[in-house]
Amino acid sequence: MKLLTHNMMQSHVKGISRRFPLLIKPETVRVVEQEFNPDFVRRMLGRIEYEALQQAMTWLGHEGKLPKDCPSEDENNEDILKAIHHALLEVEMVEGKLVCPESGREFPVKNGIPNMLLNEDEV
Amino acid sequence: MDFQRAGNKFSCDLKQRSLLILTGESRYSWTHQITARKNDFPNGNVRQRRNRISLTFRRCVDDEEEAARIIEKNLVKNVYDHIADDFSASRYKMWPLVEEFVDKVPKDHFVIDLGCGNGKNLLKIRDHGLGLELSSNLARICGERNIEVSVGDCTKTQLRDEICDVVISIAVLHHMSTVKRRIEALKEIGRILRPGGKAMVTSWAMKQKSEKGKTSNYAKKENSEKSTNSAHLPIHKARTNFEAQDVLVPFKGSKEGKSTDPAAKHRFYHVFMEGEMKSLALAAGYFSEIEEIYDDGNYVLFLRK
Repeated sequence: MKLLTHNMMQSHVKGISRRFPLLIKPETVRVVEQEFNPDFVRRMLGRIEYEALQQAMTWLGHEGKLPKDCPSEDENNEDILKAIHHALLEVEMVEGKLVCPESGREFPVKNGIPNMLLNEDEV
Repeated sequence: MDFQRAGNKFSCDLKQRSLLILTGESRYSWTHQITARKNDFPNGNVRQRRNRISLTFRRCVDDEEEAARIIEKNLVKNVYDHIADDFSASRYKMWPLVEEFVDKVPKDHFVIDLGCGNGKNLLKIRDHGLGLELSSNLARICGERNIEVSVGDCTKTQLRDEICDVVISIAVLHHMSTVKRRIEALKEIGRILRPGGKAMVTSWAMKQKSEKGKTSNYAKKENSEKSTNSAHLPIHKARTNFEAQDVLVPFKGSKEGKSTDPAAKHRFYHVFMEGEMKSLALAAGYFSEIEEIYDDGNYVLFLRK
């Protein structure tokens, strides 16, 4: 699971108000190099929750690698964009858990795949 | 009582007043029968048969929503989990219309594939896409192909509002078993798309022939055979026209996979009438443009939020 994916997800358990971000309890983390597409990174900057991305990097043991403040969508500094690219697409949780911030419901992540299926009584 | 699975035969002398319960996978993979004969031969003795009564217990479900959940769990999710590898091996080519749509998506746009199967429609999209798949075995195959995926239900996704530019949902809506759930699936697409975002949704059509009389690639022959099963849904015969809108479609798969019980491979389908998907998309709200076309046995919706 990439952190871009994590940033796009929220808890969908019924009857809660605080859904985002899902807490991350990592067991295995890996870094896989991906092709750098500055246009895509810039576009995603306008869509993601930057604080949650910083928080996620901390949970995965990669704190301090992102600029403190969210760069704007017309950011041109390649080093900054590459740092965000790295956080969004290259740092992955292979094994671990995602946890609903309000209900504490845990969603397992196995082989990099989060299982977000809810039981009948949770929908 | 005789039991059989993939060439294995097993006979069992059931004692009087005994109860035998098949659970889990055995319910699908073993067939059972009482062979018609006058005598049994337990331990080399001859025993004349008397009355034998076989009772089969089934649970009836009244509530439509519960029935929908059971249908989609047993006749969609479990079946795809069961056939995942064979299914994936037979689904490697992108449908031309989907490929054309995907190829036009700019490289900085984010694409979500709801019901992504083995991920074949995300292979070109890679990093700027995410798949959601109900079957964990199909999701595993996506993972093996380095496609970003999560296991989830496309009528109730874990995705945030307005998170993506493009949604594709190819051959998925026909697995939803009620009108309500079909609309919910389309509403989810509307919710996760950014304003102005586009979606392509395809489903099987009841009509397998175009107006010009050209038969779709799927229905080449018309030799419909009526057969029903315990769910009272007709079982569709490959390459024939559909006899009803709600049907079970067997998965044939590769030759090696044919040994197991075919009942374990019946998938639920609701095949669509002309204009049906379009009216569901209208009911979902969200969409400013709705276009429906027919192509080779499928209806295709093009939506804009």
